[in-house]
Amino acid sequence: MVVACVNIPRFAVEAERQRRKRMNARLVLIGENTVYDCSLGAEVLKVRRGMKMSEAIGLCPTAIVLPTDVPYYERRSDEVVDFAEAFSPVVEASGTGAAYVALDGLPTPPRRLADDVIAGIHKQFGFMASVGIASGKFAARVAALITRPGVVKLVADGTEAAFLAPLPIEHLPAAEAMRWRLAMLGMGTIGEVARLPPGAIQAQFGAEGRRCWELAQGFDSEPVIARVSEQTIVRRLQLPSPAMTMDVILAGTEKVVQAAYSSLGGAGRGRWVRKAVVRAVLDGGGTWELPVAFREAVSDGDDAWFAIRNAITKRPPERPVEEIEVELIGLSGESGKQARMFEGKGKLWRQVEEAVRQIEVQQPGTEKAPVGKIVALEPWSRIPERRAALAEFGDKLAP
Amino acid sequence: MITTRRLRSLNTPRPIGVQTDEHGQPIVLVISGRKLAVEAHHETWRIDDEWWRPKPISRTYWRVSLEDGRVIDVYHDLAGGGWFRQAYG
Repeated sequence: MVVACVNIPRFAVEAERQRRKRMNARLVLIGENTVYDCSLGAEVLKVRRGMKMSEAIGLCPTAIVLPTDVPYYERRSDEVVDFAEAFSPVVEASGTGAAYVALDGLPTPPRRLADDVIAGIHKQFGFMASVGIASGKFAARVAALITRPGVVKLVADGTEAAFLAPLPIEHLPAAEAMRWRLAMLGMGTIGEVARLPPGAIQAQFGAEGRRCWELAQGFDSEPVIARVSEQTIVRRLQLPSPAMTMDVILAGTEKVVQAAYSSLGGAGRGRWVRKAVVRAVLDGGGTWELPVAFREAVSDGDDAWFAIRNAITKRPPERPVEEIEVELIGLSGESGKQARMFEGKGKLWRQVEEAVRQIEVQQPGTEKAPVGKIVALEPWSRIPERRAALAEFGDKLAP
Repeated sequence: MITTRRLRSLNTPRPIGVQTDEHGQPIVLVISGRKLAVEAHHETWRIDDEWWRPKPISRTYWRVSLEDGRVIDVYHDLAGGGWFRQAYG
């Protein structure tokens, strides 16, 4: 087995730097009560992940402190993993900013492929990755972690134990209690763990100890597990100004939900949805995320909106919303549907849609008819431009 | 499959040329390059909002009659400066 571990150091900080261009030269701390991630400069000042934020600010008082935005980091990380799948069919995500790539059976030599991955990620996303290559995931991961960004570290087959031996035990996947006890026993390196009799370490630390001993020996047969690719539908809506009231947030979200469902009725006709994730970009940075799992698969936007609306009302965004995104997940084939007995104003809406189609035909070269729909946002607002907005005429018009 | 749609604001303020008197009241408006005298000031009101944001909103509105008979709303932007025309409703 040949495995490459692609690692982007300080991924959360790098992702934040990309969307906040003005903080390029500043020390950065990310987190709420504890430090989720920090910039290299903060690390130099002894800040560590998991440290209390108050302690970290004490170590670097000039740092910018940002709230954690895990959904954003995960989205960016998924983009990188998607990109890595162009190099190998078997790619496994490992937290944010790291992935394992199985290299067995690929025509390109491992080192050249790793160089291509680093160059591609930098060109495509602006991140600088490091890559470790070894016969197992653990050694590859450690190699990637100790290597500078932009560099490939190759651990030759059979030399894993020697490579790992001088490195600190912090790299082992051991709980804090086990590390503490190892330190109390005077062991600071992986090599010292490897020299212990396997029976003794298993007696002291159980399965966790046995696993760490095997890894320290260079034994690692854990396979790279390819991601299950899933088709999703994502629709976003940028609001003209940050929405502060629940009515505006709900109106915007409903529009996005209906737009997402209308695309099911197009290319994906007959598709049912098991889950929706509503996300919002918040004023001042940060993302709000709300997963809504439907009790049964839903193919109608109105039914989905009923469930989503209830979920949002129970757990609304905590700050004004700048952009709303709805992702439909778990698309499946149609399993039967009870038709409506009365269509209400369906005839009128069909006439409107037909009129729009006529306009599109009369204006060749334009994909969308220059037709909009006035949406009431905050009709009570004292600020006139906040009261209503013009939305695109979607594929589906809800009366 | 990702698509982003936009909502466009309606009734956005449009800059307008205004001459004021010594009290800051509009007395002449420039509309389509034509100077029109203000014949009457019907009402004035002030709104202050979003003072917690980097760009707070602070406006003094005037509802005025022009010499050609039209009644329009204009406001003076107290935060950013300038005069704007905007139907208040």
